Amino acid sequence: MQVMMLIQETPEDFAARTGPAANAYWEKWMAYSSTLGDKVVGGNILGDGGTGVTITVRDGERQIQDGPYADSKESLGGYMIFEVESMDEAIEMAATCPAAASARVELRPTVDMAANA
Amino acid sequence: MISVDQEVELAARESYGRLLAWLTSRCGSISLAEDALAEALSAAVKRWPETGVPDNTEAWLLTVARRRLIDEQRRQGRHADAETKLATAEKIRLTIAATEASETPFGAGLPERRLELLFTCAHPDIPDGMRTPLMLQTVLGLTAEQIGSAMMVAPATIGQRLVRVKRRIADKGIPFRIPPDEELPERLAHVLDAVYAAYGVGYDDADDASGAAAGLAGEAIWLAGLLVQLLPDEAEPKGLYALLCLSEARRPARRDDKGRFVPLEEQDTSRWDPALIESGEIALWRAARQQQSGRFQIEASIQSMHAHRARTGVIDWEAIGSAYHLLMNTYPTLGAAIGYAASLGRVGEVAEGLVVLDDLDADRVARYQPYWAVRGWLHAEAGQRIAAVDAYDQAIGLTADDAVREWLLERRALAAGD
Repeated sequence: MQVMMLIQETPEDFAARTGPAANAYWEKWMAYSSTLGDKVVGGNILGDGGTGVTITVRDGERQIQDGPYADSKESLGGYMIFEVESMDEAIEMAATCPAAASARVELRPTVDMAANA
Repeated sequence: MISVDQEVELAARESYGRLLAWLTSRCGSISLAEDALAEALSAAVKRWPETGVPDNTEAWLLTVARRRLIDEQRRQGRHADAETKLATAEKIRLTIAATEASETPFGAGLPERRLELLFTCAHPDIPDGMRTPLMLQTVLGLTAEQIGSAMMVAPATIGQRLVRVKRRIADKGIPFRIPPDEELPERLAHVLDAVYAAYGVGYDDADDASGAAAGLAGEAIWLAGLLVQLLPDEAEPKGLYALLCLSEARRPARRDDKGRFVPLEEQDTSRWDPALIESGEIALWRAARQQQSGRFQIEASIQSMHAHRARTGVIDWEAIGSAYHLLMNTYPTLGAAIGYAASLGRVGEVAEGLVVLDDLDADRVARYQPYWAVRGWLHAEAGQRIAAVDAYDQAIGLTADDAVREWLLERRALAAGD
């Protein structure tokens, strides 16, 4: 099964990517990724919430806003897609994600459209 | 002033396992007993605010729960035609329960049936990974959220698995009893393993701080103490109890004032809990007098040797190494082999330590953090920079605790020579 890990990060985490703590930040992530091996079949690092745009269309009326929709402190910093046997396995992999300690991560199984057809 | 809700919670904490064990011994079904007890607890939440908290909360809960069991029996009786063979057997047990319900169990206190419950939970027919959760739920009354967080399983999943495993107990007719003498040592080992797993879920190396973060340390020590009390003729429960007390005694020293991780051999011994160390030492001494050797006594003796540093100021790595070697040969676990490898490194036998690690099964150690942390250290001691950095990377990536991760990042930087 495929499971997506949505990685929420704090403003401090985003700042650490380029600031004086950048080495420690990236070392953690590199070390973490290296333990996952070929279980990771996809993923990306996202720019901080301020670099994004939110689009809504209601009754044909379009609204385009800067930034993320929710005004929470944490925002989506990236995602990974795991190819695993079970949610248990995905939980074990997610538990050591650096963002689980600083903000939070969420796991979602992908929906297999072919299996539903 | 504590609220009625807190009174109920307190009564539940103290009595849950005792009441559930007794009810299960009467009706033969953990699920039925749980439902009845859950209803009694919710009745208490509703009624106690109006009537006041009864003097004997346990007797009150038991009376209500027993009445529910009998109601359930009547209900099942009405649907007898549609019942399966199993449910018929259940009904017979319930009939017995109803007859026995007239005996009041409150003369010399509620009869102790928790040992039967513990042995049922750790029965060989129950899958390895489910013994600890079942014990935590039935003996301590922990919720699926609490159990799931400690065992790294989604709460809904653990809930479903617990339901299935209780059905399995009924289907397989796993008896609710203390095993006969000839089976006792093996069966007891399963019980002790399940309690130990509750203490350091996922990390069977007690030297590592991360395991204790699971949050069930207090519950595990309580269960181990209960086993000591219920099985006075057995030495191993005392060994386990000693091991857990000695490990737990060091919790306050695992972080410094700034919240940074401190490894065992560098801990400030004045931060160790002297009362827990004493409890551990006494239990270990009592176990030794029974002259039945065992895995947990050896592990406890290793922790005791570490505890001696508080008095002597030194660590006898030779003696610790011998104890790990004995443990590895008699009760082989990953933790024992890794402990042995580390103690070899401490007495200058770094290459030998690495050989011990090389001999371990690669699949079993792939995601085992203590293995990589010790491996990184041994490579660094041997001056093998690249191998040390690679091993530390694995250890860092497999660490859930931020303080331990920071500490490992420092070790990695030292090993890399930056």
